[in-house]
Amino acid sequence: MNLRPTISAPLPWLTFLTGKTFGKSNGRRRRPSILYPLRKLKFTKEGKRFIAVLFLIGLAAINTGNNLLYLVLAMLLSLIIISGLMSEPTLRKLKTTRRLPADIHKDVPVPARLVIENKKRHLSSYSFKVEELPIPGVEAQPVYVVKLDKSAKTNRTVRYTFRKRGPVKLDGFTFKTRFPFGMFLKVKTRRVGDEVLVLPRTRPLSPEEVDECMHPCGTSSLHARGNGTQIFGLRDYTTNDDARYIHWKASARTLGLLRKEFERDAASNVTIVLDNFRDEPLRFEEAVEKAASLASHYIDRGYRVALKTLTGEVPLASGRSQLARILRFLAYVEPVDGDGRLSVRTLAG
Amino acid sequence: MSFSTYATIITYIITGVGFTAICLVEELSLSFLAVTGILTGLSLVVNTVRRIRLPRTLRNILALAIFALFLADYLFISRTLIGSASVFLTLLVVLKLYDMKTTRDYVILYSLAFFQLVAAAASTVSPAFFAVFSIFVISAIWAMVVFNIKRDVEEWSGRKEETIPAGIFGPKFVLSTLLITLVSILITLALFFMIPRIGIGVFKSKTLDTLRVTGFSERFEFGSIGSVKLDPTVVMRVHIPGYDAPPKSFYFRGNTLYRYDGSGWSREKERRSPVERGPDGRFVSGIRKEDRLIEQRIMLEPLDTSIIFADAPWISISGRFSRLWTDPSGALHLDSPPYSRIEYTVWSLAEGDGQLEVDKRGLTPYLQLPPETVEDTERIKALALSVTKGADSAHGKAMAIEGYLRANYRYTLKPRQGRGRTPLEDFLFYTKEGYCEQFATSMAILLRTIGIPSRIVTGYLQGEWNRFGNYFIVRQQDSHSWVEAYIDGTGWTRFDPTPNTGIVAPFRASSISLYIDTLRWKWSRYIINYSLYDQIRIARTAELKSVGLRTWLRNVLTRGSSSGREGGKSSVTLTAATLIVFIAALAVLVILLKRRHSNRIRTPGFYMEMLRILSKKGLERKDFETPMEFAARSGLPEAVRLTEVFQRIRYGGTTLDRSDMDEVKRLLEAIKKCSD
Repeated sequence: MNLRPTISAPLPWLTFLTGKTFGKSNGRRRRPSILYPLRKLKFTKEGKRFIAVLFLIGLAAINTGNNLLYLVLAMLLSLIIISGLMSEPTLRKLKTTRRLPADIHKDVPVPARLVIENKKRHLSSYSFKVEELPIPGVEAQPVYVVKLDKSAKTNRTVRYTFRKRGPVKLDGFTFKTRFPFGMFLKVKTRRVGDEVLVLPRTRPLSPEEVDECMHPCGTSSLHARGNGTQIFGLRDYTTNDDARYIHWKASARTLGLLRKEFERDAASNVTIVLDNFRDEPLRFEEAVEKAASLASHYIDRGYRVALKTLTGEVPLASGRSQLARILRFLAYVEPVDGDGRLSVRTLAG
Repeated sequence: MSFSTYATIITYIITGVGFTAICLVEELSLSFLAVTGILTGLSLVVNTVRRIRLPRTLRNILALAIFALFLADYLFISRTLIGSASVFLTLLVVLKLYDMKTTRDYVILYSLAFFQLVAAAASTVSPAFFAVFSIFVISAIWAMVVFNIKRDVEEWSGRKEETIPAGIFGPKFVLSTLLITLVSILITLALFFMIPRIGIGVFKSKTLDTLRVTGFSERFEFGSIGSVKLDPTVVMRVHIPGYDAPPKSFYFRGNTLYRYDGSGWSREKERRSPVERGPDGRFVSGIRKEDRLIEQRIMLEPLDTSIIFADAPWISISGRFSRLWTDPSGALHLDSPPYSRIEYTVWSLAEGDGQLEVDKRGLTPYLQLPPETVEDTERIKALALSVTKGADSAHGKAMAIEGYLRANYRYTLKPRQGRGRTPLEDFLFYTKEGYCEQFATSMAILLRTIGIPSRIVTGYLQGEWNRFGNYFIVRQQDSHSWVEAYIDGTGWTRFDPTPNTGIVAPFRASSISLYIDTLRWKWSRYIINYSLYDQIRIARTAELKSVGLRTWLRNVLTRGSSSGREGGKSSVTLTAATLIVFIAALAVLVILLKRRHSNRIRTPGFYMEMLRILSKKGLERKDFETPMEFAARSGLPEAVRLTEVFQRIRYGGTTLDRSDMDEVKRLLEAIKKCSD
């Protein structure tokens, strides 16, 4: 018997199938996607009880041979099938996107907007919960939707809290439903990648906390105009000047209004030095947080601030953009192995 | 409508269904059902007008009392598990109706209603169960969906049930529930027929009251058949497959009696012998005839006799009984009287005029005459001789007597009292009216006086033909007695001397009754008595159909091939074709699955391509880097531009247009060149 056609006929198909299933995809090699489960299913407490009753009825039906008990048994089995059939469209074609604010600080809850859309053209989705895929250090409030009509979308504001500094990749969402009968929890995952940078938290510092970081070399003045306390000179008063700065004695002498000008205080330039030597993680994070808080403190008061760490620095500048730069830099700071001690200092000038 | 109102409506529907189901349990008394029904009605007032909850202690005491009652009832009073459990469940339901507050209370109540349905399933065979069952499925699906949403709202959103939007449970929801129920019932029926019937019946309980019948014991008195001639209770239903109209007159033979004592007939308690099984598992009579057979599917109600009925002469019988017995007179017996409906199939000769081959030995008892005076006997014999004058064979004589009685005697259910000293003399010589017993007795005795062995047979006539289901409805009123005479050369032969007016039963059902009976019969046939045998039959039919399909497929595939090819060649082609179809189906499935998966990560291919090119160059994207940071680190303006396009596509929700595609191609080329 010639078996050649029998064997050779399916070969191209098998090759094609193997290629499609296990073939190398573009870019990174990854697990064959067909091996990913489409959804997870697990029994709820009620589901387990339901199955126990089902077994009991089955046992009774077998023992008695009573066909009406078989009918009840078939009904219970059909409810399981119906449950599976009905929960499936609830989780199908649901799309979720998230919008997070630009500034996200560690341990500070931020509001995020989730847009959940039912892309099905004919069926509504009932009673489902949307949760952020679990990421270490990310706490996201889940969203519950009772009903989402066909081709409709809903906007929900939820709270996200990031417990870890640095770049965080948000993977996607899980959609959970116990619809229709609550016997099974069906979970479907949808990948919606987003990357956010979690900045270190800043907090108001007490004068003592600011002073204890100040380097003992003190402040000095530069002979230039500025916002210091020493008088640099006098000039004619203009209507744009604050009346508090009028030098009344000199004005009396010259019979014209003169205003005081001040020397620039050298301490308005501050360099925050973070010696990011390895220490206990908690202490390290506290140090980073303190450096961030110091930067915020000085920038809020008009200082020009620079940041120096063992792995890099942010040059001197002032304003909110400088604070953003420093915080962004601090978000990436990692501990460095060495003999030194973890510390935060500020140097004036 | 608030959620609590909604829940109350569902609860009372389910309670009502549970209560209706429990009414089908035959063991429960009407007074009990009436009292619990009134208490259920009162609870509705309590739950809607004034929400009163029984104190917890009182509830617990009452629950304990109900449980004690259940134990006492089961152990000492009714001693039936189903009956006691039904009482227990019903009382618990009533108690729970006065204690509804939490979701758990509702769930307990629904569970109790479900077990009421199970109790009904275990104790009834009524088709009304299916109606109750269907309504229960509707309301249970409704309740489960509603309470699941309530729980989800409370657990997943932390809100209270009152905040459930009213629009959720609108008319659309109700319609959807009905649709789901319909699908569920269809699936239920499909599963019902598919679940293997491996029932061992260890705890099988009695599901029907036994019907009392007369004429099927070792003795029966005159008048016993006459007393049931107006009873329309159904005894059996006989389906004749393949016939839209009755193919012939059926006499469903039951018992035979041969000893006449003047007031009734009797027989000795004879030793029964087992009926042998043929190679196909059927019980066989041993009669070897090549004639056409008629199949009769008989569904027999539970009777207080072990005798089963069959049109004679039967050739083979199959049924769900392990053994079948026969006595020397040919009556068929089960081991014991059946306690529920039984179904069996009989194949009997389509034509044969009641011939039954029985060993001729021991005919003396069939010639026994009544213990009456010689004068009486002589008078009867003289009548027999005068009637049979001119007939030369035993068969001819019997025919003559049968004709004489039919023509000269009147059928009545209320015969007059005559001057005769015995009922037989009264009938034959004075009143000349009576019912089947008198006719059959007279013929048997007349035959015996002229030396022809005879006996009385009791059984049933074919009854009423139900045109909706093509089966006979055989009632108590169709019980009948006739005569079998032993004719040399042919054996025992049936004769029925009763005039036709006696054969036509007085009760005739209306069309609606017939239709309802058809439903009842189908319910019994296809639901209550559905068995492993039916499943095997269906499987065999499917196998035969598949063989036909395979043959057809083979013919189609080998059409056009030369006739000289071997049979094996077509088999290989068929296998190859099947394999190709299977692989093609599998491939389509895999591609569909892959397509579904590919939607999960929607990173555009061109960006992956860029990553691959840069990766070859040794530039890997770090996990903490955003796409733009990585692009900036690469130091390639093309990479930055491509990343901008990627971000627009990936997060901006736009697609590539023609110019974008051209630009992407150009940028990728540039990055490739740079990397080289």
